[in-house]
Parts: sequence; C-alpha cells; structure tokens
Amino acid sequence: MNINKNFLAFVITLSLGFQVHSVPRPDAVEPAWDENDNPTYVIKYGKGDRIDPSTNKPLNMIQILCDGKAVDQVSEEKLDACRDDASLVEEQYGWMDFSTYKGWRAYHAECHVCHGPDAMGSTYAPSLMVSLQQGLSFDDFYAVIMNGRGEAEGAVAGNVMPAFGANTNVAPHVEDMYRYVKARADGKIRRGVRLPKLPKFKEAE
Amino acid sequence: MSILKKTLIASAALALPGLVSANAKLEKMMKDPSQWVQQSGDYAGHRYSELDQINKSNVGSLKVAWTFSTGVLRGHEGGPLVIGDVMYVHTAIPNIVYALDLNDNQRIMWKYNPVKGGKYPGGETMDRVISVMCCDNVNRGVNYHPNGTIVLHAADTSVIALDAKTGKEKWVTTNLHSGTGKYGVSASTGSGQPFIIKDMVGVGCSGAEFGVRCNWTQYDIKTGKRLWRAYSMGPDADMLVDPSKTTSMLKPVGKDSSLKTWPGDAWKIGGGSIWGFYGYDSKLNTLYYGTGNPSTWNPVVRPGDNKWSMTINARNPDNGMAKWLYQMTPYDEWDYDGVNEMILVDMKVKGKNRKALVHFDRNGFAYTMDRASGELLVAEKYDPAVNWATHVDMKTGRPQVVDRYSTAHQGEDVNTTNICPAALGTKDQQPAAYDRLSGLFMVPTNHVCMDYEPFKVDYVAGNAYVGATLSMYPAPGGTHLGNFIAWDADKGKIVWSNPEPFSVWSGAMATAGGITFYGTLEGYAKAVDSKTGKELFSFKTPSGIIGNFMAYEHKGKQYVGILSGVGGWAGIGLAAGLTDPTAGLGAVGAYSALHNHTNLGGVLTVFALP
Ligand code: HEC
Repeated sequence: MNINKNFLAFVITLSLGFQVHSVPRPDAVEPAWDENDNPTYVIKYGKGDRIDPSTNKPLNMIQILCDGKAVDQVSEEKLDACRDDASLVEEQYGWMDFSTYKGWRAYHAECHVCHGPDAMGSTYAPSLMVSLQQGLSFDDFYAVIMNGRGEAEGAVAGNVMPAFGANTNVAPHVEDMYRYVKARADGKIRRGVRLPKLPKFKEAE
Repeated sequence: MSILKKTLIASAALALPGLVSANAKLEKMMKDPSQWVQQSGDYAGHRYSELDQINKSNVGSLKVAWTFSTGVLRGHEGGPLVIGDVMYVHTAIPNIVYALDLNDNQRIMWKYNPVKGGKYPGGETMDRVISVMCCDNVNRGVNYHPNGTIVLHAADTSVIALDAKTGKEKWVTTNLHSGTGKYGVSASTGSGQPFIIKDMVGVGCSGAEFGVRCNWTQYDIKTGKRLWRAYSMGPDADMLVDPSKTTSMLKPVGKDSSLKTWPGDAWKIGGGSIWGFYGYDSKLNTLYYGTGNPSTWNPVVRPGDNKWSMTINARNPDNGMAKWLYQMTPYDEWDYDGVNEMILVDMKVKGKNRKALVHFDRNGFAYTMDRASGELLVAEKYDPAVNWATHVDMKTGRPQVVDRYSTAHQGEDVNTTNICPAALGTKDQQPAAYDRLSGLFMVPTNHVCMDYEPFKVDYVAGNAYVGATLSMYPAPGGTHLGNFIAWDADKGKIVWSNPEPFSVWSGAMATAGGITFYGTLEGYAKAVDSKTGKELFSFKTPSGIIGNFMAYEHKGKQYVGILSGVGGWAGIGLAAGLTDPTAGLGAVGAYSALHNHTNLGGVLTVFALP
C-alpha cells in the first residue's frame, strides 16, 4: 500500500516556534497494516525532558499511561490503583507516525464539529472511538464516510452523517483517520494530546 | 459605480412616508413589558424586562408554571415571543413554529413545519441541509411584524412569512442556496434571526466554514421582494460601501477597501457570515450587525486584513449603504467571528454623554463605540485569560497580536499552543443583557483556551472548508469552563464574576426586579442579584440551556420563559468534557463531561410566583 501522495506542499518541520530541551527524534516509519490488512498506527515512546520555556510547564505532548493505557481510558478503580502505585504509571514522550498524525489532523478539521474532540462524540453524533471499540470494521468505517448515512439508511431521526466520497480533503485520508481513531480506541493516545509526528516516510525511488 | 447609483435610486423610491408608522407601532409594543415582541426584547438589544413582580426578595420561591415540549431533541437557541395572548415557539431543524394560546392552557392554535416531504422550500432535502450546518441544527428564533406576520429564517436560508393568526404562508423566498454546488454557490445555511425594520425584514447567512461569501439581504415584508444585498467582502458596489462616505475609525475607507486586503480572488469564498443578534436605532435610522470569520481557517493562504470580515457594520436599512465599519480582528488567525450582538445604550463614557454601542466580541475584547460616528471609545479584555493580543491600539483600532499566539506567524503545519480564548471565543452567540438599573452589562462567557494548527486544504464546493485543526481545554489555573460576569462598559472592567463549571451558553435577561436570569449547560435556570451576582434561585430544567431568557405578563402575573435543549457548538466541545493536557494523573476527571449531567431535549419551561 502507498502513502497518500495527494498531500502536496507539506512542510516537514518540527519547528515549534520556540526552543525545547529535546531528545533525539526516532526515524520515519512506514505506514503500518495489521494482520488483517487493516490500517494501523505506529506509536513510539521515549524518555526526555520537553519543557516549554515560556511557561516552564511540560508541553502537551506527554503521554501518561496507567497500566499501559491512556489515563482517560481506564476505569476509576484502575486509576486509583495507579494513584497508589507509581510503578504502574508511565510518563513518556510519544511520537506518532506521519500517517496517524495526518489522521489526527484531518479528524480535527473535518469531523470533530460533529463527532467531538478526541473522537469522544457530541450531543448528537456518536463517539467514533467507542464505535471502533465496539467492533466497527475498517470496511464499514470506510463505507459510511464515503457514502454517508441519512434517515433512509438507518440513522437516528434528525441525524445525518454527510457523504465525503467527493471531498478531496477527506476521501484520500480515510485510512489515516482510522489509524488515529484506532490509536484512541486502544488507549494509546491521551485526550487533548497531539503527539508530535515522526518525519514523513519516503519510499525508495 | 453604476450599480451603486442604481441601488441608490432604487432605494430612494422606497422611502415612502407610510413606512415609518409600522416601525413606530413595533417600537411601542417593545415598550410594553407584558409582551416580548422581538428576540432581543427591543431594538437596542437590552434584553431587559421592566416587570418587577418577580424580584430580589421573592425570586427564591419561583415555581414552574407550565412546560411545553417542542418535539425536537436538538440544540435550542433563541427564545419564544409573546404577542398579546399568543406565544410563538420555534424549534431546531426542521424549524417548526407553534402558536400557543395563553388564554386557553397553551393550546396549540397552529403548527407550521417548513419541511414537506423531507424537503425545505428551497428544494434541498433536510438531510442535505443538516449535513452542511456547521455546529448543530440550531435556529435563533422567529420575529414579528405588526401587520400580523411571524417571520422564520429556516435552515435552508428560506425566509418565510406566516400569518400570525393562522400560520398560513404569506410568502416564501429562498435567500441563498444551501446547495451542492450545482448552483455555482455553495453551502449557505440560515440560523440567525430574521430582523424586522419598518416594512422590511433582513437576514444574514451562515456558512463561513463552507467557503461562502456571506451577505445581509433585505426583503419587503409585504411581498417578499428583495430590496438590497450587501456582501461582507468584495468590490465596493457589492458591499454597498461608498469609498468617500463610508468611514472606519472616522476616516473614509477609500476605493476597493476590501479587494486590496485579499490575495487574488480569495474574497469570492471569503466567509464573513452574519448569524448573531442585531441592533437598530430608529432615530439614527441605522442597522448594526457583525460579520464572521474569513474563510478558510488557515490564515497563511489569505495574507491581508481580509476586510470586511470580523467587522461591526453600521448601515442605512433603507438602501443598505454602509455608514461606518470597524474591523475588530483584521486577518483572523483563530476563528474569532465578529457576529456577537450589538447592544445600544445611551450612557456616559469617559465623562461624556454618548450614543454608545457595546459589543462583546469572540476575540475576548469588549468594545464601546460611538454608534453615530463609529468612534472607538473603549476596548478592554473581559476575561483576564485573553492572551492573543496585549491590547487594542486606540489610534488605529488594531489589536496588538502576540507572535507566540499568532497561528500565521508560527506558520502552516505548526501547532500553536495555549491560545486564549479558544475558537469558541470569550463569548459566542449567547447574548448579554443590559441592566438599566445598575447600568451594568450581564455577560455569559466561556473560559476556554486552545491549540490551533492551520494547514492547506482544497476548496470543494458544498463541503466544509476549514483548513485548521484544534484542541480546546480550560484556561490555565482553573477547573471551570465559564463565567457569568457583570461588566462596566465605561471603565472597561469586570464588576463581579461567577465561575460556572461549563461555558455559559444561554442568553441573559435583566429585570426591574433587580435580578438577572441565565441558564447553564447542565440545565440550571438561575437568577442572580444584578448588583452583586449572588445566586438567588436555581432550578434544573430537562436539558442543557443554550436558549435566551424572556419575560411577559399575562392576566396580571409575571412569567419568565426559557428553552432547554443542549447542543450547538457547546454540545460538540463539551459533551465529553475537556481535559487539560498539561494536567497530571490527579486531575483526571476534574473537568467533568456534560453528558454526565444532561441529555438531549427540547422543552420550554415557564416560571411564575406561586
Ligand atoms: C454534520 C455532522 C457530521 C460530520 C461533519 C461527520 N459526521 Fe460522521 N456521523 C454523523 C452522525 C450524526 C452519525 C450517526 C448516524 C446514525 O445515527 O447512524 C455519524 C456516523 C459516522 C460513522 C458510523 C459510526 C457507527 O458507529 O456506525 C462513522 C465511521 C463516521 N460518522 C465517521 C466520520 C468521519 C471520519 C468524519 C469526518 C471526515 C465524519 N464522520 C464527519 C455526523 C457527522
């Protein structure tokens, strides 16, 4: 499978506009596919000291894991356990692969106005993170986005999922959006956090 | 120039003597506190009721008098009207209008639904229209003309005049196209109130997220005939701007004031939507409204001031000509729409009597202007968290932008962090009230910040054209997402401030009883002491409140009404709650999710003393 070549004029910099005490960034990785040939994410964790000097606070890129899962995705009991036992908690710096990053970005530009921030749902559109957790397959995910779903196709009255098949800002990025939502569904990205992207993977010519 | 002349001539023919009387009649009705005849209560947008039966000393014992379900479970903005003994209630899409007989236990006298066979009058299916509404299916309410007409501005941009007695259509015209691109125009929608002046009704348009070029269009109330249209950007003739007479910061704007501020043809899909609450001064014969964000949200592709997006417009309602313009956020980089309500107050500013206009902008600054001349008098932050600009330069009127928070300065594909306020603004459409007793403004606000990353997108007709991605979280140092504040518009200072767990997304109403009403996203209808902010009454309604309070009197008794029905942009952002990305393990769950407190609804709750 190819990386989407539709994304022209993409500037590959991690210039955050201000200095951070940075750690070496991992290399670019190939977009990933799971054993069933569904698109999936690559998230790398490392240690480091990323402090925003203007606020002297950690940047919003710290991944806090409680027993291996993002803290917003574990039960209250588990959270309590993690509060008691520091060894269950990992504070790490994460990177997401370029494809997943593009999915994050496309999601928060095109979908969050209905499906809510961080794929969490809104007062009127479902949480896509939950949809995936409940087993929505990549094929169904893809079909709904391309074709949309109105009342005639079984949507709840007054609900409409628009068709994005002809939208060149969406259609080419469905695989990437799936990667991002899957990473959320698997508890690998904490709410409100946008992990920095790994450099774009360039195929050998 | 020739188009301009034609417009002027056409409008001169309109200035017939008979027109004034309709206005006088409506203004007289606005002064009668037993009725609530326009969305804002009056032309000045005071949202103030002279009724004082319910007051500081007895509001604590307020009870629910009656309730009414609209039958629609979506975000309900705006509020009902009361004309004589009849109440008019509107709903979210499909935009049903009900007439309720207050003399007969709120019996439904008529019900009007603009969607027939799944289609709006403009021909688009309801599904299509819903799919191009940017932020939920909201509508900000109907308005009344004294010739016995209720006007609805439906989601597909249709303007519909209904016989107030029967609910029968008098005329229907579709203002713009909420179309698929097949009209060559892309997805506009209607959510703002229709605004009645003399024998005319004016409407704005929504859709800056969809690459439209928005405008204000004025129609004849009797026939539905279009009288004039003023675009928010483009050639002078399109905007009804006279280069030598229209001023900004007291100086003529000059030729091509808009075209010069856009690269190439970018103005053609420039946004500048108009969907808030408006003002009218009949003595100055001036209409006031604000324009929204330039499209796209990615500032890098549209260098320049992008005039006249983000602008307060003062116009002659007879011919549309702009008297003065003031752009609050030149070259928007954050989606700080300038659409919020215009409140007209005659008050002392810096020791001088002024015909003032007070405007609480999304960008976090509250502006006090001279509404006759357009002179800028006061511009101060009404939430201390606001950081994207240090201040507004009072000579040039320009905000002094901080590079660190400039998404254009940081550039495409860079995530600019910790910008306050978030795109929701320090205040969104939820209108403030003016308390005539204390002279203070009662302002519902948001207290939310954001990260914002602009990037390149293609423009696809009929599709969202956003080009930025953002995350929102509570302003630093707090765990609350909103405040309800009292504002002194002369000094430019907060007088008191009540923190609220969620953004306050409902319109306020002050009353002669010395109290102010507002609603919360969890669904609480609250009354506070207007002088001190002390909470005197609270009742949890069936759903979150994003509607606006109103009051009326019936058979000698005062009533206060409010629509519940959570949704709107607030329902998107806050349904699952917000998290502070810099917070650690301990803070998880601190910013609780709205869906733990309330659910979808569509209910009118009316309160009275027992
Ligand atoms: C205008 C609002 C709106 C926008 C924008 C929108 N959606 Fe939806 N979407 C909905 C609604 C409403 C539903 C639920 C329909 C129903 O009742 O079945 C839905 C359903 C879905 C589903 C099916 C979920 C399930 O569990 O069956 C997927 C997948 C989906 N949307 C993905 C997306 C993606 C990806 C985007 C951005 C490209 C997007 N949507 C943009 C409103 C929207």
